[in-house]
Amino acid sequence: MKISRPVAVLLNAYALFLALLLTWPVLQIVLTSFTSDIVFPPQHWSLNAFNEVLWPGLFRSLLFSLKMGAAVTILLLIICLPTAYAMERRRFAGKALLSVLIFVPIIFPVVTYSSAIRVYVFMFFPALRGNFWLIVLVTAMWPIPLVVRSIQGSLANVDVVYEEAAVIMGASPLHTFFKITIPLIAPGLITAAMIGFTSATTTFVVPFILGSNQPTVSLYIFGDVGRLGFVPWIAVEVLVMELVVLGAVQVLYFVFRKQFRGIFV
Amino acid sequence: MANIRTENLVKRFGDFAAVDHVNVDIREGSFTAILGPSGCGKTTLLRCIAGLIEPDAGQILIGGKDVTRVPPFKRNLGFVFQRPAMFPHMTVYENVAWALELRKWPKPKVKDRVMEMLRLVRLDGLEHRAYRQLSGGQAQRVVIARALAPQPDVLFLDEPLSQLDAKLRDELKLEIAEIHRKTGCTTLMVTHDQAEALTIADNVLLMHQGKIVQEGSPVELYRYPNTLFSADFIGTNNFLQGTITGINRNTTVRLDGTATTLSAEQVLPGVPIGAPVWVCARADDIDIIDADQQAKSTNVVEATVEQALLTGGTVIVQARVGKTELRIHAGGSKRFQLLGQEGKSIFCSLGNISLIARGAGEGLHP
Repeated sequence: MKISRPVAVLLNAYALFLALLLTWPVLQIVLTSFTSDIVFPPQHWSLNAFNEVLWPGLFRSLLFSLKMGAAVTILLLIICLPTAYAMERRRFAGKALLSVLIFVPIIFPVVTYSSAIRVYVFMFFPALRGNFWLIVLVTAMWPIPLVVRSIQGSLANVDVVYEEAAVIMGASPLHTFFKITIPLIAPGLITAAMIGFTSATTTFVVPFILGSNQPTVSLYIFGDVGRLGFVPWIAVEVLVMELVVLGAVQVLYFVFRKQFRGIFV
Repeated sequence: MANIRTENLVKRFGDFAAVDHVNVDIREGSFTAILGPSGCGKTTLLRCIAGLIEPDAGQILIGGKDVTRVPPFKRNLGFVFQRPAMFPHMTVYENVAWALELRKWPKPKVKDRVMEMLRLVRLDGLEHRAYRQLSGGQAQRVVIARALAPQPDVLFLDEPLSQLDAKLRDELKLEIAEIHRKTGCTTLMVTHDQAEALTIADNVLLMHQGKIVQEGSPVELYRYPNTLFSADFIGTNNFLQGTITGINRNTTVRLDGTATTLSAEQVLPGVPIGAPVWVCARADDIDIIDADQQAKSTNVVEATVEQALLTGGTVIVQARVGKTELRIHAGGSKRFQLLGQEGKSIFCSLGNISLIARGAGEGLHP
C-alpha cells in the first residue's frame, strides 16, 4: 500500500513520540543516577549517588529476585509446555472452556488473587507465610496465559509432519517431544521464558502481599522510597536492577540461541 | 519386507466413511499404488495402515501379524510425506542417521548405512548440508533415504512427488522405481496421478468413495477397466452403447443403432448374448485409416469430424458416431490431414476395445 507523504510524516512522528513515551522513564532514571539533585533538566552531574547506595542489601535482594525469576521460569515452562501442546495438538473434552479460563489470571488484577490466597491459604496453613515456593507459584500465575499462547503459537507454526515422521521411524511420543518438537519450537520457548523471567524478577505485588521474608529487589527499592522519598541513589538502584535483569535475559537468549543453532536463520 | 493385509477396514469422520470396508492383500516386495481422485479416502487408508490414524473397525496385518492396535513406533515402517518432512534442525547426515541412532546401532555401522543410503538416493557428498541448503527434490530424497535406512518392513509414500515441479517429478518418479528395484522393500504409494501410478507400480488399487473398485497390474487396469469409474478415471475414454451378439474366445458386439460389429478380446463373466454393454474405446488407441484399409483393420467405425485441434504432438479430434461423441487423440504424421476436416467423414479403427456390463435402459453418458 502506498501512503501519501503527509501521512508518512505523521506516522513517523507518532512512532517517535511513542518510542519516547516508552523510553522516557528509563532515560529519566539514567539521568537522575548521574546527578546530585532531582531537577529537570539536570544541573549538577555527579557520581555521588553510586557511593550512597547500600550495595550489600541491594545485591542480596537482587540475587533473591534472580533466584525467584529462575524458579518461576522453570515452573512456568513445566506448567505451560504440556498445556500448550494439548491445546494445539490434541482434542479433549473441555478444551474450549480451558482456553477461556486460562485468561482469568490476566483479567483479574494480581492484587485480587494474591489477597485471596493470603486470606484463605494463611487461614488454614499459617506456616506457609513467607514461603518461597508459595510466592513462586503465585508469581507464576500471571504470565501463564501469555506463555501458553506464545508456545501455542510456535507449535502452530511447526508442521505436525515432523512429529509423525519421528513416530513412524520408531520414536516414542515422549522421545519425539523432547528431540523433535522442543528444538523446533525453541524460539517461541525462549520468548516465553523471557516474558516469564522478566515479569517474575521485577514482580512487586505478590511478594508484597504474601509477605516475603527476604525482600525482592522491587520491594527493597520500594522500601527505600517509602523511607526517604525519591533521591538520586534510588534511581541508581533501579538502574542496577534494570541492567541486571536485562543482562540475565540476554544471557538466557544467547545460551539458548547457541543450543538451537540452525533454527534461527 | 512384509506383506500387508486389511480386513474390512473402516474409518469414519462423523457420518462420512473415508475408508469403507476395505480389504487389500499386498504381496511382499511389490510396489503397490493406491490411485484415486482427491477425497476418495486413499490417504486415510494409507495412514491407517501406517498407524497414524486409528481405524474404527477391521484389522490390519503386516507380515502376518495383527498390528491394528500397535502404535506406529512399534511397527517398523518407513514413511515419505507429501509435505517437506526433513528435520530442519539437523543436517542431511543427522536426518538419515536419526532412526539408526534411535535403534542404538553402533557408530561405524550407522555411518556405513547412512552413506549407503545417500548413495542410493544420489546425495553422497551433501551429508553436511542443512535443510535450507537443499532444493525441494533433494530434501525429498533425504526423507526417502531416512525412511529406508532402518530397513523398514514396508515403505509408505504419500503423494511424494506432488509438491515438486514437473521436470523433477518425472526424474524422481523413475528414481523411486529404481530404488524399489534395488531394495525390494514392499512399497505402498498413494497418488492421484494416474501416470505416476501406471509408470512406477506393479500393482494398482483403484479407489473410489472409500472403496477399492479395481485391483490389478497397470496394463490390466488400462486395458480392462471393470467399471465406468475406472474406465473414465484412467485415460480419456469413449463410451458407446452396444449389444452382445456372439461369445467365443472374444466377444462380438453390435453398436446400437448401427450395423457395425466390433470384437473385444475379453469375455465378461455372467453376461449373456443379447445383453447391453458399454463399449470403451480409448482416445489414444484410435487410429485414423484410409477408406481402402477397412478390411485390414479391426473394429472400424465411420465418424464425422466436428472439430480438430492441434496441440503439438497430437491432434484432438471431436467426432460423432451416430449420436455418440467420439474423442480421438491422433498421433503420427497423418494427424495433420485431420486439420480443417470439419464436417467430413473419416474411418477410425478403435483398436483394443473393452466392455463393461450395462443395465437395460441405462443410457446416460457416465
